[in-house]
Amino acid sequence: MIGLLRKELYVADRSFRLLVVFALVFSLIPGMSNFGTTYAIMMAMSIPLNSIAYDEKSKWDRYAAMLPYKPGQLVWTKYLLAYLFTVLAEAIVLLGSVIRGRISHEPSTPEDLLSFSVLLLGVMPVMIAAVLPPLYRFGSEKGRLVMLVFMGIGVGITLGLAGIFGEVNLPQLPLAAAVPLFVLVVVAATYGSFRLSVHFYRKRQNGAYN
Amino acid sequence: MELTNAIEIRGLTKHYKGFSLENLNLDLPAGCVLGLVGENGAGKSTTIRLTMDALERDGGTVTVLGVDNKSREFHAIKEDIGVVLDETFVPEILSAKQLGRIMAGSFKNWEQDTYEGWLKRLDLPEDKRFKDYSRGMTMKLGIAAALSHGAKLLLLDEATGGLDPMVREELLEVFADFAAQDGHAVLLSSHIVSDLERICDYIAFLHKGRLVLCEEKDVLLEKYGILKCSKEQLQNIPAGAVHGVRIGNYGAEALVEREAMPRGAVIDRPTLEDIILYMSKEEAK
Repeated sequence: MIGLLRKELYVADRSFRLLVVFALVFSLIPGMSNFGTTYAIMMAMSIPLNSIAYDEKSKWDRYAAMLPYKPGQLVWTKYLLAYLFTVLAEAIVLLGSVIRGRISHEPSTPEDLLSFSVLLLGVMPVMIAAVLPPLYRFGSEKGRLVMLVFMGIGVGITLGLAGIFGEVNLPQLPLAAAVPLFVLVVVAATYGSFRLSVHFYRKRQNGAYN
Repeated sequence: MELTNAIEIRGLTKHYKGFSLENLNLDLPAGCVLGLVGENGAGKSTTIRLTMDALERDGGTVTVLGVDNKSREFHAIKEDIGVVLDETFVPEILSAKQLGRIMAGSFKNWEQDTYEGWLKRLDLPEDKRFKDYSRGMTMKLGIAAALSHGAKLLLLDEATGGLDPMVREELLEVFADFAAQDGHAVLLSSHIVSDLERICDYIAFLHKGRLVLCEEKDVLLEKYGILKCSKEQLQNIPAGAVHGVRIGNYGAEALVEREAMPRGAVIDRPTLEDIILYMSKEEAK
């Protein structure tokens, strides 16, 4: 799978550079950190979309099916790409926030940004799980619209939850129960999404959606 | 155990909306070049994709290098198969150098020196992006990649299309040399029948998803002939021996089986292209 990952990173090269610049700039501007985080993550999530669009244009999938890869490996690479760039975007925003803190002598990792980032990172695997199957089903053009809707809903829920948790004292699950439950949800969503994406990928290869 | 056939296809069937590949039976003997010829949409690319299990088939079996292509082992066998497709295949923002690194991470037996040698030999710039490549350059790159991982079998889908005659000539020699090596074989689909005639040992002719003929090229050229005669004389030829007819103002030309012709009949040696053209017209009737 190393070859596939290399290909994805080469294709994502330009988008990645833009991502770094935007994430750093937004995280360095006071009061823009949350927006910067959201924006950077949205950019990160668009990287697999761009990759699928490039694949469609060049008919890479037809060629890749001739290489010693299984359909599952070809699909899983897009998931890995999404995870990698999402985490990277978060890391850059946090780094920018630390730099800003050092310069302005503010606390180095603002607590609200950190908690927002953790929350967003938690929601991201579920969003990725929701976004990728439509891309394989509808292709990059129609899938882009579906993806935007999901991303809007995902970010909206995150911001909404962040607001609720910030203002209201809701009864909370103990951490020892919440974390495994959350992990279970993420694993189940990812597994279901992956199987669905592979199913759509195979059907697309067979010309079912042409 | 020595391999007899590099590819064995039995009863292969695939249905699409508006097209069916019907009950295809085909063998590619080891050490040989098999030419797959047919009009656009005849099923050549579908056959290659089915051979690589890149498409779900509706029936039949395919054995490649001695392994059923539906078995788990086939995944490993793909390491030994070099494929060139008839269209662009790599995202346009990549370069040949990057493709080399991608392939190095894809094939266990990737030979970087061989690849770089092919890039030089085929005059392909390493750092230029594919969007600036011509169709011919893209095809050459596909061929360079296919020849750089120690493949035993080459599947070439219109691989010589878009190449200038000099390069085509050179590559045809490369393919013929490749097939001559122990245990190697080449399946070459092409519209350029003269290319097939030059290097193929066997010819398979697909028409509308059906195999019309599959024979040794030399046998084909010996078996058939072009008979030039009057329309009246043509009536006296046994119908089963005639495989295509062209009627002109001054007489008739027909693709016929030599053995069935009366003694003294003037029969010209056909080219492979003649045979294919006559047969495809006959099939279209």
